Amino acid sequence: MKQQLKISLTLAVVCAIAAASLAAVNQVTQKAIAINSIKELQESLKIVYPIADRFELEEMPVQEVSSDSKSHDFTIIDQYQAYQGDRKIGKVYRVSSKGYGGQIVLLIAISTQTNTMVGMRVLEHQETPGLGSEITSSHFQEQFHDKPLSDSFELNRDIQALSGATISSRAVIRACQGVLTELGKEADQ
Amino acid sequence: MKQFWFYFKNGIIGENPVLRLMIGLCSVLAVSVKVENCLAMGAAVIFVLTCSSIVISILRKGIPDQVRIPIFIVVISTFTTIVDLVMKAYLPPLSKAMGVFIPLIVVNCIIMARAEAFASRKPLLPSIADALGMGIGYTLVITAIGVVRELFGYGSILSIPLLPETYQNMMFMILPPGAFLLIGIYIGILNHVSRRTSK
Repeated sequence: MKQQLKISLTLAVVCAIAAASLAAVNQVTQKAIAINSIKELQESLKIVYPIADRFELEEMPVQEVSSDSKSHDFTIIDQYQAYQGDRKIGKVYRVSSKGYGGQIVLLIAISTQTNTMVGMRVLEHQETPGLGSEITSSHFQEQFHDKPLSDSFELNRDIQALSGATISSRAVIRACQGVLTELGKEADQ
Repeated sequence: MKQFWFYFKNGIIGENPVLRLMIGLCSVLAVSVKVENCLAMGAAVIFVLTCSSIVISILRKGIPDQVRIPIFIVVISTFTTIVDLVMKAYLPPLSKAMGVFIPLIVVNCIIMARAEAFASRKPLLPSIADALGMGIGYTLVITAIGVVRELFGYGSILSIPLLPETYQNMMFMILPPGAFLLIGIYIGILNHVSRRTSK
């Protein structure tokens, strides 16, 4: 009995000390981590939409998860309104699309003034290094630069797929088409 | 003091964790694509290994045998989480490159094995020597692998381009097989050299 009590007490004390020290470290770093993630997102928004000077998170309309969106392995994570001064000039969508090695998270910027895709940028991916990872290369991403929304966004028709990485290329295309459908839906409302 | 150096050197050469004990290979394969990542991973491992060895060595008489493994894990994961949080806060690009491998230091068998086999049985000073030796041994090997992989896989070292533009990157080096082959080659070299010197 005494032995058991000693065992549990020791374990409890060790855990308590560990928890206390982690709480202290968290207290110190929490703020910096939050600032970093906000800064990082704002910076990538700025890169994908250089002429905008302010981005505002837009409340997402509550969507029922349709089986349709699931079968296409595409989801919109959140969307931002882009401003130049006080003028709304476009939108940036943060979307996730299923690639070869996992989810690809990318930003897609749309100009509502000129009806073009301003650009695309991959934020996170786990594609094969050297093959699928080329979706982050500038020669692939440039294909989406200032592209009229009336284009078809089809692989090997107006977007050149990466050799050896068809699935990764297709995932990016799927994300673009998903955003276009979403824009269409919003325009209808 | 002589003993200190003995245990320190033991971790680097005699019982090098990667090349001799063959533990902690998972992170070696995954992280060693770039020299920068190797150095960061090495530093994180040295920190966690040394701190947990110190704490476990001090506590070793008070730890009941039945719960020693849970206590080791709590101590190791506390230090790992501290490293993870600090890196996220002050070195965000590096922390992003390392991804899940910093939190995974918790289950890195180098640290668990040293806590169980060494720090929980030996006094403070040898434990520190062992932890530092093992940590530096790990860092040296992972960096040696990283230098070759980055040079041939990306044509650069520490992101400074070294090979001419026309160089076609060896994809093979960036992918896991490159690391496997290099580890094999290094084990061969180490065995060859140590056999020569012992003769």
